[in-house]
Amino acid sequence: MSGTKQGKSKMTSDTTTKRHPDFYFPDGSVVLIVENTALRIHQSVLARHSEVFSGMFDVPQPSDVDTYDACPTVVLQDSLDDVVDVMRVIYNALCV
Amino acid sequence: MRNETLPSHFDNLRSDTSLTDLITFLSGILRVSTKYGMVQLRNKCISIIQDKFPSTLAGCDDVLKREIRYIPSEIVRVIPLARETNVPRVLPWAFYLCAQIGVDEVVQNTVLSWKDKTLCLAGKENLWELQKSTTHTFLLNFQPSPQCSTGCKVRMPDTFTLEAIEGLRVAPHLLEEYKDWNALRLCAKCQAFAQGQHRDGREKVWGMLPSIFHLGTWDDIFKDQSCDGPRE
Repeated sequence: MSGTKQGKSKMTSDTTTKRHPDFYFPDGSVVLIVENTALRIHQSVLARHSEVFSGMFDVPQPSDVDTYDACPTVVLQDSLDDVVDVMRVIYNALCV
Repeated sequence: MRNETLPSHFDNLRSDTSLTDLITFLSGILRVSTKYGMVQLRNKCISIIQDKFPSTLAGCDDVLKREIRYIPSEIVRVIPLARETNVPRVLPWAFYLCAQIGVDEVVQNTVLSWKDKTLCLAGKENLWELQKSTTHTFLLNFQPSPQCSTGCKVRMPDTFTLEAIEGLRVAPHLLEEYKDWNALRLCAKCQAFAQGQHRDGREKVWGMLPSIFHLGTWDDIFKDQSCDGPRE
C-alpha cells in the first residue's frame, strides 16, 4: 500500500516524534506516525472502519517490527490534519 | 451500527455551512477515507458534497430552488478534489458552475489545472450553442407555434437588446428554469409551444452535461464512481 510503511526492527521513540495531544491513548495498540507526530490508537477501531488497515492487521507481523512506546508503528505519508480529521470522526462517533 | 454513529461528528455541519467551510471540512476526510478504504466514511462525505453538486436534473432543480450561493473560489476547489478522490459525479455540475465564471478569471485561476481550464472554456462555448439551439430558442431563435395566428414572430426580435443577449452568452445559465413568460407577450399557443421546447431542452442539456465538458456520459460517470477508490 503506497502511503504506509511498517518500519524495520528498531524502536522509533526518537526525540523528534511528539505525541498527539488528543489521539494518544494509553491503551492504544498501534501507533500511526504522521509528520513526526505519534497517534496511539486502537487497531480494532481502525480495522473496523478501514479495509486497508483491516487487511494489514490480518497479516501476521514479524517479531522485530518497528515499535513506539511498545506498540507496532505504521508510518503514513499523509497530512497530519487530514488523519486527525478522520480520527475525530471515528472516535467522536464512538464516544456518543 | 456504523451508519448510526458516523453522523455525530458531521452534525457540526449545518445546512447553511458555506461551501468553503464544507470543502475544508470534508476534503481531508475524503482523501484519507478513499485512500484507506473507509467505505462508510467516504460515502458519507460524498453524500454531503452531492447535496450541493447534483447528478440528476431533479437534484439540479432542488439546488436552484434552494438558491445556494456558489462562489467561484469555492467551486474550483471541488474539481481537483473530485478528481483526486474519484468522485466524478460532482464534476458536470462543478464544471457547469465554472462556466459561469469569466474567461479571464478562469485563465488566471491557480487551483484548476490547464486541462480543466480548457474543458471549462470549451464547455462554456458548447453551453452557449445549446442555449441558442435547444433551451432558449424562444429568446434567441424564436419559432412560433404552427398554430400561431397573432404574429408573435414579428414581435420577438425587438424584445431583447444585444447587451441582454451578450449577458446570456458570457454566463450561460441555461439550466435555470425560465419563468418570465408574461414579459414575452406571446399568444397562448406560442407560450405553450415555447414552454414545451424549454422543458424538453433542459432535459436534453442535462443528459448531455458531462459530454458538454468532455467528461463522457452520465453512464460512464456512474460506472466510474461505482468502482470507488482513487484514480491512479
